[in-house]
Amino acid sequence: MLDFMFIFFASLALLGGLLMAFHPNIVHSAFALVAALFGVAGLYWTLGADFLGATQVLLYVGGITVLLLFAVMLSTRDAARISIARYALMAPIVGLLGAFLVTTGKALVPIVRAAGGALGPTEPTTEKIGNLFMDPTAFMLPFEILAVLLLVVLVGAITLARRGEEDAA
Amino acid sequence: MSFSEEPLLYIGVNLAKIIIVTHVVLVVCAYAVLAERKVSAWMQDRVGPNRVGYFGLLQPIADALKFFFKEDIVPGHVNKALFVLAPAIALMPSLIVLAVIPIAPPVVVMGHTVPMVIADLDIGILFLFAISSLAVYGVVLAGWASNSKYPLLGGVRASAQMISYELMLGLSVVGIFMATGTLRLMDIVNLQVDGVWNCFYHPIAFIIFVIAAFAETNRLPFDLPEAETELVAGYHTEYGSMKFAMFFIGEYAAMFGFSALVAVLFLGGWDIPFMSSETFASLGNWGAVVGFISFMTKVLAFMFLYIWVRWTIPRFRYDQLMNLGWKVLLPIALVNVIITGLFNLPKGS
Amino acid sequence: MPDSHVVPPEALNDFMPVLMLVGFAISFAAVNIVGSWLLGKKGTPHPIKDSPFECGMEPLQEGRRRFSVRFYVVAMLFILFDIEVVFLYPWAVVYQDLGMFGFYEMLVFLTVLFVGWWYVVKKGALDWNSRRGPLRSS
Repeated sequence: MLDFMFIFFASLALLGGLLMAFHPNIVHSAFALVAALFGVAGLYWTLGADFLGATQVLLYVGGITVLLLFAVMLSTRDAARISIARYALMAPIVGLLGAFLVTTGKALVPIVRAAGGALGPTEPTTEKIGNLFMDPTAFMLPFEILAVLLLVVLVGAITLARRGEEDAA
Repeated sequence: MSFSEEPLLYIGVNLAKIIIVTHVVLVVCAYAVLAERKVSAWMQDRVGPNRVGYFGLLQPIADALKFFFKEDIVPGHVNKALFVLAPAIALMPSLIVLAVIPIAPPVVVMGHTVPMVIADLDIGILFLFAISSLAVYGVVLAGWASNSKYPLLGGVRASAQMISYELMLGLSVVGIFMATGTLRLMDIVNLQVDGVWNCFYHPIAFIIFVIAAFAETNRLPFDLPEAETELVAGYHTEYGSMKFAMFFIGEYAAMFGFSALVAVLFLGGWDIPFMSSETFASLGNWGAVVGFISFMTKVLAFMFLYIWVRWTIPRFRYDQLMNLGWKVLLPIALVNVIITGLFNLPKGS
Repeated sequence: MPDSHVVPPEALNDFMPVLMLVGFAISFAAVNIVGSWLLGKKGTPHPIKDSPFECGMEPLQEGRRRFSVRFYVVAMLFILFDIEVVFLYPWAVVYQDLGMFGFYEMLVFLTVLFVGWWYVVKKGALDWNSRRGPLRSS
């Protein structure tokens, strides 16, 4: 059952990614990206990283893709044009991938296990992550540097937005 | 009890829990609409709906039937696929978040102790925030797919408002996790049953959370996305029939979800003052019934607060809304985290 | 499942109910949409029905307009602050076990966050009512 879920989420991530890359309508592409990110979150979950999976949905689906949508929705005049040619290009890829998943998807599972991945939420990960962040010998320094990095990003974002505003005026 | 040992019983019990929870929510939603109309009528010295059934009690059923039999219009200027998808996306997250909300003390079924929560996830609250952050897609999508000016304005406003206040929601509850040391909602309730309700321990977090919950559900005084005096109906202006009703169900289910979350996080869940977990356990399965009634009382009281506030406080302006969130609530929530940290200094230090 | 012994028996217990609820939510939404489509009155097509709602006026310009850069800025700020909030969660859960060191470490983190917030406010990125535009307070 968990193996089936692993394959399901893996195909969701792959197909979502492909659809995002090949769909001519950029808003539909953004929604395909949502599906792909959900697939990745599901993969994290099946591999036992529940905190990471929830964070993936919260930040990437609930935050970053919303920003992408904001940018995409209004930068295009009419995004509802559909070109058959690109769909035609996509069809064989999807077909091949589907065939691959059906035939060899089951074989992926032992590979994941062999690589040390535990299938299924074995134990809570939140406490572990918290302890690693606060451990001076582990990830304490990266954690604090990350705070500074986010501050730099913040300044950069405001500066860029300001420039855009002045150019528009 | 687990899936691998007794799959049929496991699936049956979980199916029963899902059906009970979702149907309670849907019935409450239907009658919350009636309550909203009744309460607003009384506050404005009117009678309110009183024609369909005694006291208007059959009104929700009549409304639902009428929604189904109305013409299902998909206007020619919209993006058809996304236009149909939007109400579904607006509705689903508010049902899925119910998965992690504990509604009553455990029940004993055929020798198994069954926790009365659909999925007792270790990352409970994070799962809830992650899923409820998806509700913004229904709104953005409806606004964009409608290809019309009012829905777009409403959709963009709603999304900026929802993501802003999501931040306050997430930040205000950090203090609770510092004191309890868990994200699992069941544990948070159990600690309150045998201790003090969190609203007394974390009063600032409680107030911020309640304000953010109002903004997150787009309810007055923060209903800028559907401010009818300027935007007609906001993001669902172009919708009709059952698709319109789905936005409504989604909104009321989200109200129920946040009311339940307030009850679980701050008001002790199913706790009744001066009753300990032993008292509930000694009552057996009746303890679960008593606990469920207590939980529902809190939820319904908070939903009444939603309605009461709607007909009492006028609408904010959009800049006031954003200023309140980003310039007032955010720093208060940050400072609150530090203060909570000082009050709950690690033991033995 | 032949290889279910490899998976811990409790592993599925978290999964199944959530997926069942997701299934319920999807089918509920589908029943509503399809039911409304099947049962709804079949109206006659009319050009007015196919035009955007504009309070009875003839629509001018297209429906999708560009909106203020402020909305993008809010979305960006949300992502940055949300990342920091998510980082607070694992810390909060282990807070009682960490000792004072954890408190000081998070104080540094929160201070940096606060400086960021102060910068944003001072730059006027969150001013919605200034006439000269949101980001030109200096």
